[in-house]
Amino acid sequence: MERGEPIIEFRDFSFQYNAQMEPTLYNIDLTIYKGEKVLIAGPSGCGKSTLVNCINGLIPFSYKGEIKGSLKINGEESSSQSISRISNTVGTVLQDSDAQFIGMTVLEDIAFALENECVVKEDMLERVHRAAQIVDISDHLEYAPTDLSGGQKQRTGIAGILVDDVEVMLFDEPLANLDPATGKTAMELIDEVSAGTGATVIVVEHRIEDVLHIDMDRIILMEDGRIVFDGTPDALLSSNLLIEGGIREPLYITALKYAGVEITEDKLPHSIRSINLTYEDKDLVRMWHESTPTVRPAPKTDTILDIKNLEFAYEDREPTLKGVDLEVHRGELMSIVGRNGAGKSTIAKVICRFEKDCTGSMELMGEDLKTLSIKECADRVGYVMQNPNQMISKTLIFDEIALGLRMRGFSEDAIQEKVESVMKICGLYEFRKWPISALSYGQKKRVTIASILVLDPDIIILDEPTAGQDFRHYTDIMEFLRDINSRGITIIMITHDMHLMLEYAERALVFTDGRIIADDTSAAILTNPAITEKASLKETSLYHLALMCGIEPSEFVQHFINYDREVRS
Amino acid sequence: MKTVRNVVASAILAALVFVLLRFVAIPTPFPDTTLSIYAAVVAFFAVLFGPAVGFVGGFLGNLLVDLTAGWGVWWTWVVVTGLYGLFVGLGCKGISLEDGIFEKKEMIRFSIVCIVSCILCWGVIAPIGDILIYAEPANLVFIQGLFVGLSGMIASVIVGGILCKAYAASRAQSGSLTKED
Amino acid sequence: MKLLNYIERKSPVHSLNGASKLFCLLMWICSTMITFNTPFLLGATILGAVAFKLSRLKLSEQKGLLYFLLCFMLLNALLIYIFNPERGVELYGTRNLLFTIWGRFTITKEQLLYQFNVILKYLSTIPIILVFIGSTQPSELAASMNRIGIPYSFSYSFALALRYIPDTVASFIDISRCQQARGIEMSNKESILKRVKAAAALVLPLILGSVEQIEVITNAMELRKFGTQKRRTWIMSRPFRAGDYLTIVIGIGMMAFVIAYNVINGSRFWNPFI
Repeated sequence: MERGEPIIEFRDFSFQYNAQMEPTLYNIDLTIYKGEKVLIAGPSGCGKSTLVNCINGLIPFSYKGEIKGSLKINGEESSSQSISRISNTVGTVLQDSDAQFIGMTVLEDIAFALENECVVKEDMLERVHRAAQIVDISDHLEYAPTDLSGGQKQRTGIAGILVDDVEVMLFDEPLANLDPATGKTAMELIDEVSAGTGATVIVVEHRIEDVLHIDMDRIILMEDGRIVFDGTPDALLSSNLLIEGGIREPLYITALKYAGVEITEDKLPHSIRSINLTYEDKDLVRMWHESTPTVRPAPKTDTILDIKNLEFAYEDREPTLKGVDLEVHRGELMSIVGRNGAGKSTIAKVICRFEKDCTGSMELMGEDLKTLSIKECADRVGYVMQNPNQMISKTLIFDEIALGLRMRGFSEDAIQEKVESVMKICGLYEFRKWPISALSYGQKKRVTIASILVLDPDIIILDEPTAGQDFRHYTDIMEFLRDINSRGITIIMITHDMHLMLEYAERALVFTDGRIIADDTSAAILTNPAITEKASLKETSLYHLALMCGIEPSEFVQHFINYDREVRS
Repeated sequence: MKTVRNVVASAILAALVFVLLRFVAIPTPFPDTTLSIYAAVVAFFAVLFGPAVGFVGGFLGNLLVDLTAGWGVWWTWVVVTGLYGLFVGLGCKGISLEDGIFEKKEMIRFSIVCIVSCILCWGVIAPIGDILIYAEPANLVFIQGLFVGLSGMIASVIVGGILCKAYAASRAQSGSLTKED
Repeated sequence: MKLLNYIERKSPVHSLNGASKLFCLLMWICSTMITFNTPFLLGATILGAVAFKLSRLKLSEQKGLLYFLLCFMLLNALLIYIFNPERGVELYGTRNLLFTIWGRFTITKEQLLYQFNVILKYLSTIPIILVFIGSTQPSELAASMNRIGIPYSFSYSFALALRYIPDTVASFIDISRCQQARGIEMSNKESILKRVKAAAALVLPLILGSVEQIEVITNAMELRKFGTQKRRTWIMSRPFRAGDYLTIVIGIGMMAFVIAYNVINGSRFWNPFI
């Protein structure tokens, strides 16, 4: 590949935060050239966020620490510049789209950097309109962030850096808060913008398959503060480095490997659209598929929650739920999917009685939920928020888990017994003396689940249980949920994550515009193009692989799930 | 560098004061009177971010509440909320929550500073301001001041103390961690 | 959630620059706050009503607020009377007793005038606040504050507060419902100490979460060069027109009148009793 001039150059670069005992980055040697599209991947804690902060200047100007070696941005040592000077070269779109959105409206947010540079109003308007046009948000300039979807907020974020004519666009986990279809569009937009402006693109993500929806020139793989791979996507996918590094491989690669297909660079494995499979390879896949009969999980039938014709509207708005009929069966592990605003969070809130003004019927084992208070309802249906920090209000693990019991007037002896037994189930017993603040994110998640579990509910509803987690933490949390599920607790998960849906949920409900448009196995839904398109999902790459090999897709996906389950456990 | 953080912290404090004043009202034994804990968050931010943030955030938060409620802007009370943040911030200079230190000694100092500031703000400045500017009857404004001052004290010492302690605890181990993203 | 009740409409008041309106508003509030000149307060009330009319806002759009204002005003008047029925006598220095209701509860001309003044203070300021909020785009507020000389860091704090209040309210609602589900409540059943602690548990996740958010927002702003220059421009700023100068003159005029009256009269009170 033809390379332009270097724009970012790390030379034997190490960094150690002041508060930490060890460096976070060790001897980084990395050059990024003008016009390149680079993906930086790695598990959490590998140092990729720190690397991002070095590139955009937050290190050393906001976060203090010790730097060794050299980092040149646009030919000049970064530490001799200033954060605003570096921002002229590197534009950053942060992962948290609500924090990224500073202005009160789209117009103001795009103009933010220009205002800070004292550009006069007329010039500002012209540049803002041009940037808005590029990302196609011109029709929403007066909108406030609360009225925008995740995808629109991201477009605004991109326009907000484009307006400054940056040479490098740096994206920190751009797909984290987007539904699958919007994520796909976002990657296409990034690709388009970079083609149009010639800007260098650096994407930091652990969802490799979704980023590789567009052609990336290079992947940098990090582990424990070091770069362990720097090369083309094809070369990386032909190795076993991703699995070893605790990152999820694209599903079609995993499937091909299970089938015994050898993956080499010349087969162009970087995308399901580019991959060249030989006749023999396809045969191997077919043989693998036929080696064992595909067992579909037996559907459960003992109805625990029965919802009929449920309608709900927020004040003065269009109804969010329109005549929802739903039966949940005892012991199910199911997912609710759909785009933002389709009603999937709302139905959870209505079931938990957080929202009260609904019509229709909701019965839990014959008991009318609509007569219960929010607290009474929690004894039967527990709700776990996405961010554990939003639920934790005590400093000690024991107190946090015991809170609900104490509020319900249990005796201290009974509390002691219940809390300890829940701690054992949740693998928290060994930490029982720890303050919560010393726990990792995943452990905090367990604490919040434990604090719900201790009330002995029949159903637990979780909102995005694994958002923002890398493969290892994801697996950790999900295996834990599966374990709880096997103890007889019905679990409902609201999610955007199609891997989660595919690998763990035996049943999936698809919401669109306040209605359920599909209720089936995850394998069946993610291989149905009509439904995936309508609900802003994305069909799994296994679907395309199945078609390529002439296998019935939903059968194939089910086979993959069963096989994968066995291999991993 | 610190100033950008102060601008943001003031804004977030204002937003929190707004939410607490508008939405969190604790019933009291007195009929139709509620206790608001907004003073606690002003005190906590003042300790964490300093007197300037305490002043601006408290002032703006109370101003926004007054602008959107129906009772008009009561400048004396708006300014006093800011002054409370200022006093607590000045009085607690040197307490470093960032470093995870909030032990008995700091807790006692924080409580004393809060109590003294409450007396000064709602027991003295606000009522005198009301008498001088609005010419209200002295006994009325002193009773109002007493009530708000007392609830400010209770809220600051208990809730503010819990907040400081919890924040310090979340920072405490940062120096000893070897790896955490 | 709509925080400030801005109503988009074509009117002479809407077309004014936010800065001139803000300046006039501040002068207006300060002058009516200081003075007890009854004719002046009456004049300001009438002028406020005219401004309301000119702004083409409708009373029905402000129903909730006006109702609240009425209740608050009456409550305050009642409290003042109960606490000190002869406050007016103290202030004006004369005593024209009309009649006695019972015991210390007398009705004097001075008290009536004093309480009339207090009510006029409400009536002269609230409508003008409504007009200002109803006719000024929230986005223009910060630009206006900066324009009339308030430092931009302070102005931007104000803008950011407006930006993040809806987010804060939304997460407060989510968090508090989850905590309620776990059983935290602030009902009358518990002792006051327990209730305060329950409130602490309710708001603790919200507040600590907001503190974390501060760092991220700060980074986002620094990465887009906030605070690097001595001044900044505003995309929502608007040019000054003739009407704006008139608005400013009204503001200055009111303030100047009040100051002049205080100096010449030697007191803030318009006193017909001497």
